Amino acid sequence: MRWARIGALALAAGAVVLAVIFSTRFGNDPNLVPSPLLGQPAPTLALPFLDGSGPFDPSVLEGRVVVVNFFASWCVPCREEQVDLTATANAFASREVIVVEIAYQDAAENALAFLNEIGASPNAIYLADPDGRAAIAFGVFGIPETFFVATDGTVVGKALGATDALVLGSTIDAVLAGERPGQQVLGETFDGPGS
Amino acid sequence: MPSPSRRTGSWLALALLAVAVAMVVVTAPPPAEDRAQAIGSQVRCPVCQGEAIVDSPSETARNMMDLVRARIDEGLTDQQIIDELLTSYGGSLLLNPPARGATLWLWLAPLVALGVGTAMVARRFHVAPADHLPAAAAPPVSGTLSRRWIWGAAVLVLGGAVAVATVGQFQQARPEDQSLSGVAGEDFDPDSVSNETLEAVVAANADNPAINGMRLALANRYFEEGNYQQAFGHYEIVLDNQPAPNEAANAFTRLGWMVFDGNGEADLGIELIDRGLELVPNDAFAIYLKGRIIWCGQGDADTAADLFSSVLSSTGLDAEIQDRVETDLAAAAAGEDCQ
Repeated sequence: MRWARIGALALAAGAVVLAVIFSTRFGNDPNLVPSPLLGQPAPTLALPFLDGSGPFDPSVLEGRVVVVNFFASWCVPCREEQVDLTATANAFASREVIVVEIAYQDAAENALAFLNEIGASPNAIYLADPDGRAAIAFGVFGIPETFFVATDGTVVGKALGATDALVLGSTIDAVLAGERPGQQVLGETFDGPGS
Repeated sequence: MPSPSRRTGSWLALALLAVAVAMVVVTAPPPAEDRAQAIGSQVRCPVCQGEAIVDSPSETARNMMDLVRARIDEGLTDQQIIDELLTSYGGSLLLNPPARGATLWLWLAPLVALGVGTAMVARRFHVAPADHLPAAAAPPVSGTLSRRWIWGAAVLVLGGAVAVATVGQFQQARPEDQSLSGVAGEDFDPDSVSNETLEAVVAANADNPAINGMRLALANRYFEEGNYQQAFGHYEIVLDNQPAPNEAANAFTRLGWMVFDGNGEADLGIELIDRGLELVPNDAFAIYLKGRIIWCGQGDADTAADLFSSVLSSTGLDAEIQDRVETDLAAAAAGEDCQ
């Protein structure tokens, strides 16, 4: 019975292939799946200002490179990167680059206290996301997550984990030069307070 | 008295009304909440492990369910709503992979395996009867069959062995410093965060009950170090900040020990630990500390020994605690003073 033997061999071979696929894939973090937003238009940031001073007009961002960062006062790595985000917002202000920081699952007063303590930039924009719509639209898994939007409004880069001035600066330079940096993993992210 | 025809008429009207109601019920679209639940059960909560957003209590899942409900109210179809979520999170957000494209084989593979298996079994029972063959050429049927089974089994065993041996080769450790929370949250090592950083984080969230776990971890760190002054304040804040029962019990237990160990107040210490035990009965560590206070503070070795024995009878005891309790039990049972 040649066919039976071939069938059995095919089954065994299939089992091996499956085992290899599963064993290599399960080591990976499913959240590392590249964001489907890369190469797509960035979601519109029709959100209120974090300090309660009214709605933000997202048309301000048109034609500029935009760095969208999700942060929270309960997020440990966010503390590390906040200083560098502020420095980057100041350093690149003259080059039509805007840093937008969005508070993720955080009370406005806590997020404001966080910014007051660590420092904020007059060139950056700080927004609230009360019902989490912006986080969902950007496909946020855990913070900090930072997105880079090119001048044509396309998402061209995403960083998971705490960024620093070097990563922010080099990625912005690449975006300004017309490159698409894609996704980079820099470290730990947190999915909620108490995690 | 109504005439028979009028009575028939009202019965007829009633029947028509019933039919109309039934038609509305049957043909009406499912209520919005049913649709939301149905959509929510297909969508994986991105910050949970294999849980649908409809089942998850996480804020992200709640926000996503609210979005689903809002989109239903706006008149979008189920598919449009799911597509919106997939645009930002990708296909891995679906709990059931779609039966098309790259994930089609996930659905087909079991059918193919079933087909191949059925074909093999069918052939096994469809051996040509020996009397159709020339007598001299007729092989001993049972012999070939068993040889075939041995072959099949050998191939399967070999394949399985290769699979087991190969799996280890390809397993990858999560790269250090590159793990993500959400799914990887448990990989995060809080010990890597300094006390100063934790202090800063909890200070920025002074009145946020969600931070209680982090504050307790910090307070327990101080408690273990014997830094009662720092620990005290944090436990008090936790108790003022809508703690969960286990969080409150954790704080009461250690506050109780500290007022005894630091200030020598045995009665107050026991009272505080008892309040913790009301919330989480049978907490081994709390019972052990209570025993220590009764023994060392009130000099009652017998009661302490009873408590230590009950601690040792509980399961899942930390090895270090077990050693300490065993030593103390031996001493207390012998009527010695506490050390």
